[in-house]
Amino acid sequence: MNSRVGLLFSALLVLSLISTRFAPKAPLALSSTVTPLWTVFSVVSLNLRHFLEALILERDLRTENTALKNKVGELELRAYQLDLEVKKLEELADIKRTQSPSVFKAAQVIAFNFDALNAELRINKGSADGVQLKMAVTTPQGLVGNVMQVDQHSAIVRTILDPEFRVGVKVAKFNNVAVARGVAGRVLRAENYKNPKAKNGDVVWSSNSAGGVFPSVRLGTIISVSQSRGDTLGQTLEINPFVDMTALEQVYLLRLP
Amino acid sequence: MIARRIIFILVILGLQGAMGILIPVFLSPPDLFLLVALFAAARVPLFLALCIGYSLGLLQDILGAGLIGFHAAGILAGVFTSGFVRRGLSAETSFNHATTAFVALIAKWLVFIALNYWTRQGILSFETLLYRFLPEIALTLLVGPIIFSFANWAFGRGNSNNDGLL
Repeated sequence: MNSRVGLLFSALLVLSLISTRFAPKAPLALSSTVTPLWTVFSVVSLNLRHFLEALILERDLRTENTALKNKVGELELRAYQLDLEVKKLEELADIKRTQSPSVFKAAQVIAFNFDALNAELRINKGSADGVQLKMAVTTPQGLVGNVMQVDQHSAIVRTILDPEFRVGVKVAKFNNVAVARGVAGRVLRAENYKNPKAKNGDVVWSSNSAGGVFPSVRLGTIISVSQSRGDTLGQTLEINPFVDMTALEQVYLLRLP
Repeated sequence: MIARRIIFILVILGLQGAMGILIPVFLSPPDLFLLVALFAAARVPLFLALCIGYSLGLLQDILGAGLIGFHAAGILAGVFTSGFVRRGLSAETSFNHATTAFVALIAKWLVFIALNYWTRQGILSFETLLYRFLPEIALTLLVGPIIFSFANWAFGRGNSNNDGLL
Protein backbone atom coordinates (compact mmCIF):
# COMPACT_ATOMS: atom_id res chain seq x y z
CA MET A 1 0.00 0.00 0.00
CA ASN A 2 1.87 3.07 -1.11
CA SER A 3 1.30 6.70 -0.47
CA ARG A 4 -0.19 7.29 -3.93
CA VAL A 5 -3.11 5.11 -3.02
CA GLY A 6 -3.59 6.89 0.28
CA LEU A 7 -3.45 10.25 -1.41
CA LEU A 8 -5.93 9.23 -4.06
CA PHE A 9 -8.29 7.83 -1.43
CA SER A 10 -8.07 11.01 0.60
CA ALA A 11 -8.55 13.21 -2.43
CA LEU A 12 -11.60 11.36 -3.65
CA LEU A 13 -13.06 11.29 -0.17
CA VAL A 14 -12.66 15.02 0.16
CA LEU A 15 -14.18 15.41 -3.28
CA SER A 16 -17.19 13.45 -2.09
CA LEU A 17 -17.44 15.53 1.07
CA ILE A 18 -17.57 18.65 -1.02
CA SER A 19 -19.90 17.31 -3.69
CA THR A 20 -22.38 15.77 -1.29
CA ARG A 21 -22.60 18.96 0.72
CA PHE A 22 -22.45 21.57 -1.98
CA ALA A 23 -23.05 20.05 -5.41
CA PRO A 24 -26.62 19.85 -6.71
CA LYS A 25 -28.24 16.46 -7.15
CA ALA A 26 -27.67 14.65 -10.40
CA PRO A 27 -30.19 15.69 -13.03
CA LEU A 28 -32.71 13.08 -14.09
CA ALA A 29 -31.65 13.52 -17.69
CA LEU A 30 -28.47 11.60 -16.91
CA SER A 31 -30.27 8.64 -15.42
CA SER A 32 -32.65 8.66 -18.36
CA THR A 33 -29.86 7.35 -20.56
CA VAL A 34 -30.19 3.89 -19.06
CA THR A 35 -33.96 4.03 -18.76
CA PRO A 36 -34.57 1.73 -21.78
CA LEU A 37 -32.28 -0.89 -20.27
CA TRP A 38 -33.96 -0.61 -16.89
CA THR A 39 -37.35 -0.78 -18.52
CA VAL A 40 -36.49 -4.11 -20.11
CA PHE A 41 -35.20 -5.53 -16.85
CA SER A 42 -38.08 -4.02 -14.92
CA VAL A 43 -40.66 -5.62 -17.19
CA VAL A 44 -38.93 -8.99 -16.99
CA SER A 45 -38.62 -8.64 -13.21
CA LEU A 46 -42.23 -7.60 -12.81
CA ASN A 47 -43.43 -10.53 -14.87
CA LEU A 48 -41.21 -12.90 -12.93
CA ARG A 49 -42.47 -11.48 -9.65
CA HIS A 50 -46.10 -11.72 -10.74
CA PHE A 51 -45.51 -15.27 -11.87
CA LEU A 52 -44.03 -16.20 -8.49
CA GLU A 53 -46.80 -14.41 -6.64
CA ALA A 54 -49.41 -16.18 -8.75
CA LEU A 55 -47.79 -19.52 -7.97
CA ILE A 56 -47.78 -18.79 -4.25
CA LEU A 57 -51.32 -17.42 -4.34
CA GLU A 58 -52.58 -20.45 -6.24
CA ARG A 59 -50.93 -22.78 -3.74
CA ASP A 60 -52.39 -20.82 -0.84
CA LEU A 61 -55.82 -20.75 -2.45
CA ARG A 62 -55.72 -24.48 -3.06
CA THR A 63 -54.81 -25.13 0.56
CA GLU A 64 -57.46 -22.70 1.77
CA ASN A 65 -60.03 -24.20 -0.57
CA THR A 66 -59.34 -27.70 0.71
CA ALA A 67 -59.56 -26.51 4.30
CA LEU A 68 -62.81 -24.68 3.61
CA LYS A 69 -64.30 -27.71 1.86
CA ASN A 70 -63.44 -29.86 4.86
CA LYS A 71 -64.94 -27.24 7.13
CA VAL A 72 -68.12 -27.09 5.06
CA GLY A 73 -68.34 -30.89 5.13
CA GLU A 74 -68.01 -30.88 8.90
CA LEU A 75 -70.60 -28.15 9.27
CA GLU A 76 -73.02 -29.89 6.92
CA LEU A 77 -72.64 -33.10 8.89
CA ARG A 78 -73.16 -31.20 12.12
CA ALA A 79 -76.20 -29.42 10.71
CA TYR A 80 -77.62 -32.74 9.55
CA GLN A 81 -77.06 -34.25 12.99
CA LEU A 82 -78.71 -31.25 14.62
CA ASP A 83 -81.64 -31.50 12.22
CA LEU A 84 -82.06 -35.15 13.16
CA GLU A 85 -81.85 -34.26 16.82
CA VAL A 86 -84.43 -31.50 16.46
CA LYS A 87 -86.69 -33.79 14.47
CA LYS A 88 -86.36 -36.49 17.11
CA LEU A 89 -87.19 -34.09 19.92
CA GLU A 90 -90.15 -32.67 18.01
CA GLU A 91 -91.47 -36.14 17.35
CA LEU A 92 -90.96 -37.14 20.97
CA ALA A 93 -92.91 -34.11 22.11
CA ASP A 94 -95.59 -34.89 19.56
CA ILE A 95 -95.92 -38.48 20.70
CA LYS A 96 -96.02 -37.45 24.34
CA ARG A 97 -98.78 -35.02 23.59
CA THR A 98 -100.89 -37.08 21.21
CA GLN A 99 -100.25 -40.73 22.08
CA SER A 100 -98.70 -41.48 25.42
CA PRO A 101 -96.60 -39.63 28.00
CA SER A 102 -94.65 -42.82 28.57
CA VAL A 103 -92.32 -42.46 25.61
CA PHE A 104 -89.27 -44.39 26.60
CA LYS A 105 -86.62 -44.20 23.93
CA ALA A 106 -85.95 -43.39 20.28
CA ALA A 107 -84.37 -46.04 18.09
CA GLN A 108 -83.01 -46.15 14.56
CA VAL A 109 -84.37 -48.70 12.13
CA ILE A 110 -81.35 -50.65 10.95
CA ALA A 111 -82.94 -53.45 8.90
CA PHE A 112 -86.22 -54.55 7.29
CA ASN A 113 -87.61 -58.01 6.88
CA PHE A 114 -90.64 -57.88 4.61
CA ASP A 115 -91.31 -61.17 2.88
CA ALA A 116 -94.29 -63.42 2.20
CA LEU A 117 -94.77 -64.27 5.86
CA ASN A 118 -93.09 -61.55 7.85
CA ALA A 119 -93.29 -57.80 8.17
CA GLU A 120 -90.61 -57.00 10.71
CA LEU A 121 -88.04 -54.32 11.51
CA ARG A 122 -84.79 -54.42 13.39
CA ILE A 123 -83.93 -51.48 15.63
CA ASN A 124 -80.60 -50.47 17.16
CA LYS A 125 -81.69 -50.60 20.78
CA GLY A 126 -81.75 -53.77 22.89
CA SER A 127 -81.93 -55.03 26.42
CA ALA A 128 -78.82 -53.07 27.34
CA ASP A 129 -80.84 -49.97 26.59
CA GLY A 130 -83.82 -51.14 28.61
CA VAL A 131 -85.89 -52.47 25.72
CA GLN A 132 -88.35 -55.18 26.78
CA LEU A 133 -90.62 -57.64 25.02
CA LYS A 134 -94.05 -56.37 23.97
CA MET A 135 -93.11 -52.72 24.21
CA ALA A 136 -95.23 -50.70 21.78
CA VAL A 137 -93.33 -49.10 18.91
CA THR A 138 -94.75 -45.97 17.39
CA THR A 139 -94.12 -42.81 15.38
CA PRO A 140 -95.90 -39.47 15.32
CA GLN A 141 -97.87 -40.72 12.30
CA GLY A 142 -99.18 -43.81 14.05
CA LEU A 143 -98.53 -47.22 15.54
CA VAL A 144 -95.72 -49.31 14.05
CA GLY A 145 -95.93 -52.55 16.03
CA ASN A 146 -94.40 -54.12 19.11
CA VAL A 147 -91.15 -55.69 20.22
CA MET A 148 -91.11 -59.43 19.60
CA GLN A 149 -87.47 -60.32 20.26
CA VAL A 150 -84.70 -58.59 22.16
CA ASP A 151 -80.99 -59.13 22.33
CA GLN A 152 -78.39 -56.99 24.02
CA HIS A 153 -78.03 -54.25 21.42
CA SER A 154 -80.90 -54.67 19.01
CA ALA A 155 -84.49 -55.82 18.86
CA ILE A 156 -86.96 -57.16 16.31
CA VAL A 157 -90.20 -55.27 15.91
CA ARG A 158 -93.25 -57.05 14.56
CA THR A 159 -95.14 -54.45 12.56
CA ILE A 160 -98.90 -54.11 12.45
CA LEU A 161 -98.83 -55.58 8.94
CA ASP A 162 -97.32 -58.87 10.10
CA PRO A 163 -99.82 -61.79 9.90
CA GLU A 164 -99.06 -62.74 13.49
CA PHE A 165 -99.69 -59.25 14.80
CA ARG A 166 -102.88 -58.69 16.78
CA VAL A 167 -104.21 -55.42 18.06
CA GLY A 168 -107.52 -54.22 19.45
CA VAL A 169 -109.06 -51.51 17.26
CA LYS A 170 -111.91 -49.11 17.41
CA VAL A 171 -113.26 -46.56 15.03
CA ALA A 172 -112.75 -43.09 16.51
CA LYS A 173 -116.42 -42.12 16.58
CA PHE A 174 -117.77 -45.35 18.08
CA ASN A 175 -117.16 -47.43 21.15
CA ASN A 176 -117.26 -50.82 19.42
CA VAL A 177 -114.00 -52.75 19.35
CA ALA A 178 -112.59 -55.63 17.35
CA VAL A 179 -109.31 -57.44 16.93
CA ALA A 180 -107.26 -56.67 13.82
CA ARG A 181 -104.36 -58.55 12.29
CA GLY A 182 -101.98 -57.95 9.45
CA VAL A 183 -102.85 -59.27 6.04
CA ALA A 184 -100.23 -60.06 3.45
CA GLY A 185 -98.01 -57.18 4.62
CA ARG A 186 -100.45 -54.79 3.01
CA VAL A 187 -103.36 -53.88 5.30
CA LEU A 188 -104.87 -54.59 8.71
CA ARG A 189 -108.06 -56.55 8.79
CA ALA A 190 -110.58 -56.41 11.66
CA GLU A 191 -113.40 -58.94 11.64
CA ASN A 192 -116.65 -59.05 13.55
CA TYR A 193 -116.82 -55.35 13.98
CA LYS A 194 -120.30 -54.71 15.19
CA ASN A 195 -121.25 -51.26 14.11
CA PRO A 196 -122.84 -50.89 10.70
CA LYS A 197 -122.20 -47.16 10.68
CA ALA A 198 -118.44 -47.54 10.10
CA LYS A 199 -117.52 -46.41 6.62
CA ASN A 200 -114.55 -45.82 4.38
CA GLY A 201 -112.27 -42.98 5.48
CA ASP A 202 -112.97 -43.32 9.19
CA VAL A 203 -109.88 -43.16 11.37
CA VAL A 204 -109.09 -46.29 13.38
CA TRP A 205 -107.23 -46.27 16.71
CA SER A 206 -105.69 -49.05 18.73
CA SER A 207 -107.61 -50.05 21.82
CA ASN A 208 -106.69 -51.87 25.01
CA SER A 209 -110.21 -53.05 25.58
CA ALA A 210 -109.67 -55.76 22.97
CA GLY A 211 -106.47 -57.01 24.60
CA GLY A 212 -102.79 -56.14 24.18
CA VAL A 213 -100.78 -53.41 25.83
CA PHE A 214 -101.24 -50.64 23.32
CA PRO A 215 -102.29 -47.20 24.37
CA SER A 216 -104.76 -45.47 22.15
CA VAL A 217 -102.70 -44.69 19.06
CA ARG A 218 -103.80 -43.88 15.55
CA LEU A 219 -103.54 -46.87 13.22
CA GLY A 220 -104.94 -45.93 9.85
CA THR A 221 -108.08 -45.29 7.85
CA ILE A 222 -110.78 -47.69 6.74
CA ILE A 223 -110.51 -48.47 3.05
CA SER A 224 -113.07 -51.24 2.85
CA VAL A 225 -116.17 -52.29 4.83
CA SER A 226 -117.85 -55.58 4.04
CA GLN A 227 -120.29 -57.91 5.69
CA SER A 228 -118.53 -60.80 7.41
CA ARG A 229 -119.16 -64.19 5.85
CA GLY A 230 -120.46 -67.32 7.54
CA ASP A 231 -122.31 -67.33 10.79
CA THR A 232 -120.45 -64.39 12.23
CA LEU A 233 -122.13 -61.10 12.76
CA GLY A 234 -120.84 -57.68 11.99
CA GLN A 235 -118.50 -56.20 9.40
CA THR A 236 -115.00 -56.82 8.20
CA LEU A 237 -112.87 -53.66 8.08
CA GLU A 238 -109.78 -53.29 6.01
CA ILE A 239 -107.51 -50.60 7.41
CA ASN A 240 -104.72 -48.81 5.57
CA PRO A 241 -101.97 -47.90 8.06
CA PHE A 242 -100.85 -44.29 8.39
CA VAL A 243 -97.23 -45.37 8.67
CA ASP A 244 -95.25 -46.34 5.58
CA MET A 245 -93.28 -49.21 7.10
CA THR A 246 -90.72 -49.32 4.31
CA ALA A 247 -89.77 -45.67 4.74
CA LEU A 248 -89.15 -45.71 8.46
CA GLU A 249 -85.87 -44.36 9.79
CA GLN A 250 -86.66 -43.71 13.40
CA VAL A 251 -89.21 -45.13 15.80
CA TYR A 252 -90.12 -44.59 19.46
CA LEU A 253 -90.64 -47.15 22.17
CA LEU A 254 -93.34 -46.75 24.81
CA ARG A 255 -92.96 -48.05 28.34
CA LEU A 256 -95.01 -51.08 29.30
CA PRO A 257 -97.99 -50.14 31.44
CA MET B 1 -14.33 -11.22 -24.87
CA ILE B 2 -15.45 -7.66 -25.57
CA ALA B 3 -19.00 -8.86 -26.16
CA ARG B 4 -18.94 -10.69 -22.83
CA ARG B 5 -17.81 -7.55 -21.03
CA ILE B 6 -20.57 -5.50 -22.63
CA ILE B 7 -23.10 -8.16 -21.64
CA PHE B 8 -21.68 -8.17 -18.12
CA ILE B 9 -22.00 -4.39 -17.77
CA LEU B 10 -25.53 -4.34 -19.18
CA VAL B 11 -26.68 -7.21 -17.00
CA ILE B 12 -25.20 -5.65 -13.85
CA LEU B 13 -26.82 -2.32 -14.67
CA GLY B 14 -30.16 -3.98 -15.39
CA LEU B 15 -30.01 -6.33 -12.41
CA GLN B 16 -29.26 -3.55 -9.98
CA GLY B 17 -32.51 -1.89 -11.08
CA ALA B 18 -34.46 -5.14 -11.27
CA MET B 19 -33.46 -6.18 -7.76
CA GLY B 20 -35.57 -3.38 -6.39
CA ILE B 21 -38.61 -5.02 -7.98
CA LEU B 22 -37.81 -8.64 -7.21
CA ILE B 23 -36.90 -8.09 -3.59
CA PRO B 24 -39.61 -7.00 -1.12
CA VAL B 25 -39.71 -3.26 -0.68
CA PHE B 26 -38.77 -3.37 3.01
CA LEU B 27 -35.47 -5.09 2.21
CA SER B 28 -32.42 -3.63 0.56
CA PRO B 29 -31.12 -5.19 -2.65
CA PRO B 30 -27.51 -6.37 -2.82
CA ASP B 31 -24.89 -3.83 -3.85
CA LEU B 32 -23.76 -5.20 -7.21
CA PHE B 33 -21.66 -2.12 -7.96
CA LEU B 34 -19.58 -2.72 -4.86
CA LEU B 35 -19.12 -6.36 -5.83
CA VAL B 36 -17.94 -5.32 -9.28
CA ALA B 37 -15.55 -2.82 -7.72
CA LEU B 38 -14.22 -5.52 -5.41
CA PHE B 39 -13.77 -7.82 -8.37
CA ALA B 40 -11.79 -5.06 -10.07
CA ALA B 41 -9.74 -4.57 -6.92
CA ALA B 42 -8.74 -8.22 -7.11
CA ARG B 43 -7.57 -7.86 -10.69
CA VAL B 44 -5.96 -4.47 -11.07
CA PRO B 45 -3.69 -2.33 -8.92
CA LEU B 46 -5.44 -0.76 -5.98
CA PHE B 47 -4.80 2.71 -7.33
CA LEU B 48 -6.74 1.91 -10.47
CA ALA B 49 -9.33 -0.06 -8.49
CA LEU B 50 -10.04 3.03 -6.40
CA CYS B 51 -10.67 5.00 -9.58
CA ILE B 52 -12.94 2.28 -10.94
CA GLY B 53 -14.82 2.00 -7.65
CA TYR B 54 -15.27 5.73 -7.36
CA SER B 55 -16.49 5.89 -10.96
CA LEU B 56 -18.97 3.10 -10.35
CA GLY B 57 -20.21 4.93 -7.27
CA LEU B 58 -20.61 8.14 -9.23
CA LEU B 59 -22.52 6.22 -11.88
CA GLN B 60 -24.79 4.85 -9.14
CA ASP B 61 -25.36 8.37 -7.79
CA ILE B 62 -26.17 9.72 -11.22
CA LEU B 63 -28.49 6.85 -12.13
CA GLY B 64 -30.24 7.17 -8.79
CA ALA B 65 -30.40 10.95 -9.09
CA GLY B 66 -29.04 11.23 -5.56
CA LEU B 67 -26.30 13.19 -3.84
CA ILE B 68 -23.31 13.24 -6.15
CA GLY B 69 -20.41 11.46 -4.49
CA PHE B 70 -22.41 9.69 -1.76
CA HIS B 71 -22.25 6.14 -3.12
CA ALA B 72 -18.93 6.98 -4.73
CA ALA B 73 -17.37 7.63 -1.34
CA GLY B 74 -18.94 4.46 0.05
CA ILE B 75 -17.58 2.23 -2.67
CA LEU B 76 -14.27 4.02 -2.50
CA ALA B 77 -14.00 3.18 1.20
CA GLY B 78 -15.03 -0.42 0.48
CA VAL B 79 -12.36 -0.87 -2.17
CA PHE B 80 -9.76 0.85 -0.02
CA THR B 81 -10.35 -1.39 3.00
CA SER B 82 -10.53 -4.45 0.78
CA GLY B 83 -6.92 -3.70 -0.16
CA PHE B 84 -5.94 -4.06 3.47
CA VAL B 85 -7.95 -7.21 3.97
CA ARG B 86 -6.62 -8.87 0.86
CA ARG B 87 -3.06 -8.25 2.01
CA GLY B 88 -3.72 -10.44 5.02
CA LEU B 89 -5.36 -13.25 3.08
CA SER B 90 -3.18 -15.83 1.45
CA ALA B 91 -5.47 -17.41 -1.12
CA GLU B 92 -8.41 -16.71 -3.43
CA THR B 93 -11.08 -18.72 -1.66
CA SER B 94 -14.79 -18.14 -1.36
CA PHE B 95 -14.41 -17.51 2.34
CA ASN B 96 -11.76 -14.87 1.72
CA HIS B 97 -13.94 -13.24 -0.92
CA ALA B 98 -16.82 -13.16 1.54
CA THR B 99 -14.61 -11.72 4.28
CA THR B 100 -13.36 -9.02 1.93
CA ALA B 101 -16.89 -8.15 0.85
CA PHE B 102 -18.10 -8.08 4.44
CA VAL B 103 -15.38 -5.69 5.56
CA ALA B 104 -15.92 -3.54 2.46
CA LEU B 105 -19.65 -3.31 3.22
CA ILE B 106 -18.91 -2.26 6.80
CA ALA B 107 -16.52 0.42 5.53
CA LYS B 108 -19.06 1.61 3.00
CA TRP B 109 -21.74 2.01 5.61
CA LEU B 110 -19.37 3.74 8.05
CA VAL B 111 -18.67 6.29 5.33
CA PHE B 112 -22.41 6.59 4.69
CA ILE B 113 -22.95 7.35 8.37
CA ALA B 114 -20.16 9.91 8.31
CA LEU B 115 -21.53 11.53 5.16
CA ASN B 116 -24.99 11.53 6.65
CA TYR B 117 -23.69 13.53 9.55
CA TRP B 118 -21.68 15.75 7.21
CA THR B 119 -24.51 16.58 4.84
CA ARG B 120 -27.03 17.14 7.69
CA GLN B 121 -29.71 15.68 5.48
CA GLY B 122 -30.84 12.97 7.84
CA ILE B 123 -30.82 10.32 5.13
CA LEU B 124 -29.93 7.53 7.53
CA SER B 125 -31.79 6.50 10.65
CA PHE B 126 -31.77 3.55 12.99
CA GLU B 127 -34.49 1.93 10.91
CA THR B 128 -32.39 2.41 7.79
CA LEU B 129 -29.52 0.61 9.42
CA LEU B 130 -31.77 -2.18 10.62
CA TYR B 131 -33.77 -2.77 7.45
CA ARG B 132 -31.20 -1.71 4.84
CA PHE B 133 -27.79 -2.40 6.23
CA LEU B 134 -28.28 -5.95 7.51
CA PRO B 135 -30.28 -7.25 4.50
CA GLU B 136 -27.83 -5.62 2.12
CA ILE B 137 -24.91 -7.37 3.80
CA ALA B 138 -26.71 -10.70 3.76
CA LEU B 139 -27.89 -10.44 0.16
CA THR B 140 -24.60 -9.07 -1.12
CA LEU B 141 -22.70 -11.93 0.47
CA LEU B 142 -25.28 -14.32 -0.95
CA VAL B 143 -25.03 -13.17 -4.56
CA GLY B 144 -21.30 -12.41 -4.33
CA PRO B 145 -20.12 -15.81 -5.60
CA ILE B 146 -22.55 -15.61 -8.53
CA ILE B 147 -21.41 -12.13 -9.52
CA PHE B 148 -17.77 -13.12 -9.16
CA SER B 149 -18.32 -16.18 -11.36
CA PHE B 150 -20.16 -14.03 -13.87
CA ALA B 151 -17.30 -11.52 -13.82
CA ASN B 152 -14.78 -14.33 -14.29
CA TRP B 153 -16.79 -15.45 -17.32
CA ALA B 154 -16.74 -11.91 -18.72
CA PHE B 155 -13.19 -10.88 -17.90
CA GLY B 156 -11.40 -14.22 -17.62
CA ARG B 157 -9.94 -15.81 -14.53
CA GLY B 158 -7.28 -13.86 -12.62
CA ASN B 159 -4.09 -15.19 -11.09
CA SER B 160 -4.16 -14.84 -7.34
CA ASN B 161 -3.61 -12.39 -4.57
CA ASN B 162 -2.79 -9.00 -5.95
CA ASP B 163 0.04 -8.19 -3.59
CA GLY B 164 2.41 -7.95 -6.44
CA LEU B 165 0.17 -5.70 -8.47
CA LEU B 166 0.54 -2.66 -6.28
